[in-house]
Amino acid sequence: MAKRQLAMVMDLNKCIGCQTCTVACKTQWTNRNGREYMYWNNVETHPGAGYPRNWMEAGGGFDDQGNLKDGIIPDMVMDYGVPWDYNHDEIFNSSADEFVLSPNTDPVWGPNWDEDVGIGDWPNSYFFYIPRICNHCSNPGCLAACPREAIFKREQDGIVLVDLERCQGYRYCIAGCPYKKIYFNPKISKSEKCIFCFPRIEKGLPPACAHQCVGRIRFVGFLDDEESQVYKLVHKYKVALPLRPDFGTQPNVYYVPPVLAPPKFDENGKPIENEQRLPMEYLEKLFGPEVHQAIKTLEEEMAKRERGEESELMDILIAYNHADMFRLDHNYYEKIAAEQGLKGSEYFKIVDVRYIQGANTKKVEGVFGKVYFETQPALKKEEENKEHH
Amino acid sequence: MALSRRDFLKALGASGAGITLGGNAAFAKQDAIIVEDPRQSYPNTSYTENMYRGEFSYTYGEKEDHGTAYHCVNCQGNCAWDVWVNNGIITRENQVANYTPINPKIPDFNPRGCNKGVQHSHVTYEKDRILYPLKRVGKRGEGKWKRITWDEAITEIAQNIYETMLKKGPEGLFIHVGAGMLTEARGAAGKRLGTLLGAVRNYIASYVGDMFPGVTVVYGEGNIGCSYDFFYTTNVNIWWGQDPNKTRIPDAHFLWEGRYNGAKNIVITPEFNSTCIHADLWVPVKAGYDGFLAMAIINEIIQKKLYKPKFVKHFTDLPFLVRLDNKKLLRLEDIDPEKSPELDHEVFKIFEEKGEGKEFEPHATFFSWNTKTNKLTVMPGTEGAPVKTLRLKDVGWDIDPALEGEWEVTLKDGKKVKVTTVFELVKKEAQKFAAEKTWKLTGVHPTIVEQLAKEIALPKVVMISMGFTIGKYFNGMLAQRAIASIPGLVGRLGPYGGFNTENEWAISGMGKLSGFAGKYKQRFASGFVQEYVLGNMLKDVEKLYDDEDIRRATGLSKEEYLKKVKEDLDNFGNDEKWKENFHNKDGKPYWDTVETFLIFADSRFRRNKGATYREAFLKKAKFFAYVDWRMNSTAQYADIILPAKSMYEVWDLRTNPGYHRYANMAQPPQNLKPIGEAKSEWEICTMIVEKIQELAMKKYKETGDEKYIKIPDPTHSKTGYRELDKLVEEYTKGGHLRTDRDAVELALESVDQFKPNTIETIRKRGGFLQLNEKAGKTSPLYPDKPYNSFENNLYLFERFETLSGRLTYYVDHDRWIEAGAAVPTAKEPIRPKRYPFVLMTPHARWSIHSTYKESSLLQRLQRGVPYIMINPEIAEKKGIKDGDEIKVFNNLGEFYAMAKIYPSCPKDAIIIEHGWEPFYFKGNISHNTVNASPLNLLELSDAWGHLKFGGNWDGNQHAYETTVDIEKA
Repeated sequence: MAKRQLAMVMDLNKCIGCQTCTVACKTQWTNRNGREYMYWNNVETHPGAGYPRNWMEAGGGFDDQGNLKDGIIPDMVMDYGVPWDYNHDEIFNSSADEFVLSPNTDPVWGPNWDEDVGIGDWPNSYFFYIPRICNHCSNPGCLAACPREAIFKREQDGIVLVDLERCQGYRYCIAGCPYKKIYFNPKISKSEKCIFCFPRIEKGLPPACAHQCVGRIRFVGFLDDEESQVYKLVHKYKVALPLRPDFGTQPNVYYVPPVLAPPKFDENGKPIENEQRLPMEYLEKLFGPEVHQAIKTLEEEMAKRERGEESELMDILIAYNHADMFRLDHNYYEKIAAEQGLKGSEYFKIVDVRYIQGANTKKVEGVFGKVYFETQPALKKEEENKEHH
Repeated sequence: MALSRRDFLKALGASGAGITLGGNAAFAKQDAIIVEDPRQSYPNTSYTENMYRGEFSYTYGEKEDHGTAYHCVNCQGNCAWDVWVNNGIITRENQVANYTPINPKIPDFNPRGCNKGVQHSHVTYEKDRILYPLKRVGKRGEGKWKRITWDEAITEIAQNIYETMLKKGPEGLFIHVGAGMLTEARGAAGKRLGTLLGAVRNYIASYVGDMFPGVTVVYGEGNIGCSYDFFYTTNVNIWWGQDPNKTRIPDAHFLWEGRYNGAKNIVITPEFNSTCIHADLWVPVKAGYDGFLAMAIINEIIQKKLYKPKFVKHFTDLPFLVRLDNKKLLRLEDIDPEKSPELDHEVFKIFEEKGEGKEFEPHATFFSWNTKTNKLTVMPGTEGAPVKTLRLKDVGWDIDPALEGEWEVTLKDGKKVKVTTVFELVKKEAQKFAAEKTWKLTGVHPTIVEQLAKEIALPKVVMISMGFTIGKYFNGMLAQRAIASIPGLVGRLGPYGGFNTENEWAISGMGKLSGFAGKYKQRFASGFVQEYVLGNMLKDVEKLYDDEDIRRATGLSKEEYLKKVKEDLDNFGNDEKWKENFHNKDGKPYWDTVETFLIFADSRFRRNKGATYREAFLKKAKFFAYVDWRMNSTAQYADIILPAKSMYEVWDLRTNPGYHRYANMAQPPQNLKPIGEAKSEWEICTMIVEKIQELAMKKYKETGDEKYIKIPDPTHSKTGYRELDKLVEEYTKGGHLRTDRDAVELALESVDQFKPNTIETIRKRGGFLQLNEKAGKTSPLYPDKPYNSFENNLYLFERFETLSGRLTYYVDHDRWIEAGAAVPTAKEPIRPKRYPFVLMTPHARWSIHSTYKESSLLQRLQRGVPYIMINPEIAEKKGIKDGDEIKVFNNLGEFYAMAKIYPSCPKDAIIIEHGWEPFYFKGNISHNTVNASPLNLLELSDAWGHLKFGGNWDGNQHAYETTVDIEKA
């Protein structure tokens, strides 16, 4: 196990399926250099085939004995989808009658092909969204599958990375990851995957998908930081659950399961009382048996709020202040940087002071005995250092 | 074979080989690094780490170089972005996410943005970007272009404008900034040019079909409501004809945070959309029957006595008296106030005394029956009453108006007529729409109507939001009005919720950018009417709708209907008719005089419905110059194309609409490398006025004839002329307003609600300012509370901007009485019954109208080609599978698209998200081809109270009034 573990919690009741995260990730990392087809972050409609297509049935992960299961490498055309391009330039030299803006390859599948499709039939259909990034598992299937030991968990925060110097592009990792969240880069013949935006975190910015999430569904922090929302949602209230815990990889990305859905209708169009539009069996398949208790807790806390009572859980999920959704513990990273001899390097220069609090942030006592975080610790230190020189 | 990591190592150990080198020795190229357990620690992390760190540093660039921006398109989101740049190239964008929270107990507005804005950096450099001025060298639309210099392009445009002004006067010009640039500073460039020259322009919201005329009927204005944080504080939110999860992406979080805070969300839409998925109740209304449902709710509220009598008496015209003989409101002009035996003369006299010099306007003064005195009593607060308050009890009067009853009133000539209340007539009309009766039409079960009535009436705070789809039906104006009529019955204004379309802030002083202190007037044309005329859209209307369709929707025969439309159109057109008929006759100004077009950011050949628009427009256009930053299906047919700067390259400011209380500023990144030869609209327009003046002065000097610099304009210029020798001086305010940056600085100086702010303070904060307390129109903008309209009316009894001074339920315009629409009502859709499916074209998640539809990044997250959503049962019947190409057709035409099997689509409709440019389709023929947009006679009506042509009273181009059939291609 890594010394500490960064985690993300995504609240599926707040996810609106807008894909801002997907595109934010794309422009941050995957719009170039052989990564074009990759979606380190994707949002898929459930029930549905997801991305890559039918990933849940594509093997990998561990069985009950802890043995790695067989897996397949998804097909570029049929499962990932070819990232088609367009003849944009031809509009300048084609007759308007003839010009058709069209993809350079016939689209047959893509990362969001079955957007909003779901299942059932009008008026009783249903669907919801699940955004997915690499789970940065405690027992990663990709890591176990790599014959070159080229995949590792960062000691300081548990982020799973591919050693790109060592990776030879054998692709066992792809088969081994039950979430199919590691990709082969054909341009460099190596595997690549979501890196939890560690270069952003080291500079004080949350991961692009989380920072830029306009539904405000994503919380980021360390699981051992008892003041972090991720700790509270995962351990204190136990309403955030890993996706497909049965895959055995112990993900560090957690989901608040969907509890909101309107009633179904009978054949006369009359709402049916007490029949769930979202079947529990499906949620149990996704989030394991713990989902029952999690939903019960959520419903109880929501009811409190409807009665006008206080609820810490609702306060957390509402997330009054966007900046409070992230606890990146910059002081901790400064320490690591010092240990690695990288202190003061460009890589750790803070660019945003709003999200950097954490377990290692000094606190100061305010006038009414309330404990506050010392603001901008890193900047202060920098100034102190300057003064020394 | 399944082999765990542990087993693999064990196996190696047992064989006695390679154990000391680790499991990977066999694969190592060079020196093997020993890795004990990469879950715990790893010896070589820095190669990978530094590569990604380097990549991040590259995209981030230097903070000091960053720009700020928002995306000034017609999404109205208005979100503050930080634009990252490296080496003069824009790398990406990231939300600023720094809007100040207003209250620790209310979620903040961070990090506003969406899937489209987040990739503007990508499309900024796309290959459809217009880089240079282009001149058409082939036939229009032939795609043959020649790169020319800016001077050549500007000269040609200026020459055409000048010649038109000489030959036809200003009314020959059409200069218009379209929906692609709905922003205050930048959009003002083209508007200022148009105003200065006296050119025609038309209403955007009207021609895109996003107007709320039915709301204007009730409230006196269409854009009302709340900032989106208000939805966090409510008990019930109704989303009617709307999908905020898709179309209000930056604000949708308030719905679900509101849900956690105890608010219910109820969605009323035909399809099970992305907002429905987490709603507390979804109401699957049949497409086009929203008005029927609203009337059923009104009936339920009245019958179950869920309405609030005290509120209704103060704030609505429901107690006003209506003559039963002619269905007209009883006006002061009907009676003799001296002699009337029923009148409460005391109150009448007190009103005269309290009027502070104002006198009664007999045509706009109305009555109720006061139960306290049992007398006919003049009502305060109406347009024609000298007393403007809505208070019913004050020093000198105490009115408790009857809501129900029938009385006799003596007219001037001594004749007696029966009168009743508006409330009685509304009640009677609503009964026709009782839930049990309309159930089969609306598809909404009576128990739901019952529930909705309670959910709207009983809780403390309820907000009904209405989307743009409602106005896109032929009788959508009536549906809007019926829906907007609900909250007034149950006492909802200000803190108690009410009605939300799009709040707008009061921004005073912005007129300095586009206007000339009243010296020059715009030639405003109605959006939907002008497009109808320019595009000869009557042709498709005649073709698509038969006599039965038109009778069903209007009560008139096809012949009668078309005759009336023609009469209305005949009232307007040229300048003379405009002068004579404006607010005297029905119809709207449309200026068919235009022939020289200069258009900014307006893809009208994509947008307009039907198959005739482009051809008719091009026939009319002697000259057509188009300005945009990317090629679209309109630019394809232009004579001259000018390359505009895109959103990250300009200075700009934007405030409205009021979804939030911040105004955003765009500031280009430092050291940004120019993209082609793009220029800002301010620079372009400055160049155009300079050139026109140069040409005019030359001609004047040559001839000595003043007519070459003084263009007569008796109706729209205070001086009677457009003076071309002063153009540059006037346009640039003596040289102070030449660039986009000048415009931003002037706006910051001029607008009260922006104070105190400068470019520097805004930049420091992250590209935005917070509006001060003066921004609230009809309520105070409190520092720590979300905004909602009409608090001043509720607490201070201020009148509404309506004829009655109140929420209006009765319109006694002759045409409305004739159509049976004097009180809120609902009418059937006009769509033909001979085809089985309604074509629904809602706003998309993936584009703002057509903007961003061409993004490859976004298309890869869709299907890459236009697709149509079809219910699985229908698809099966038709033998259509997901991914098949299908033909969609009716007698107007046909188009082709990919089928997407979509369980949430109703069985009597198919859905294609709107905004696809025609060039996405085979043969350049889009989904608009099968559509027609008939003019609604009530939307054409004018000259009644607050229903007078302008920003609040135009009509809509309709989009949901066609039916089609489909088959596998």
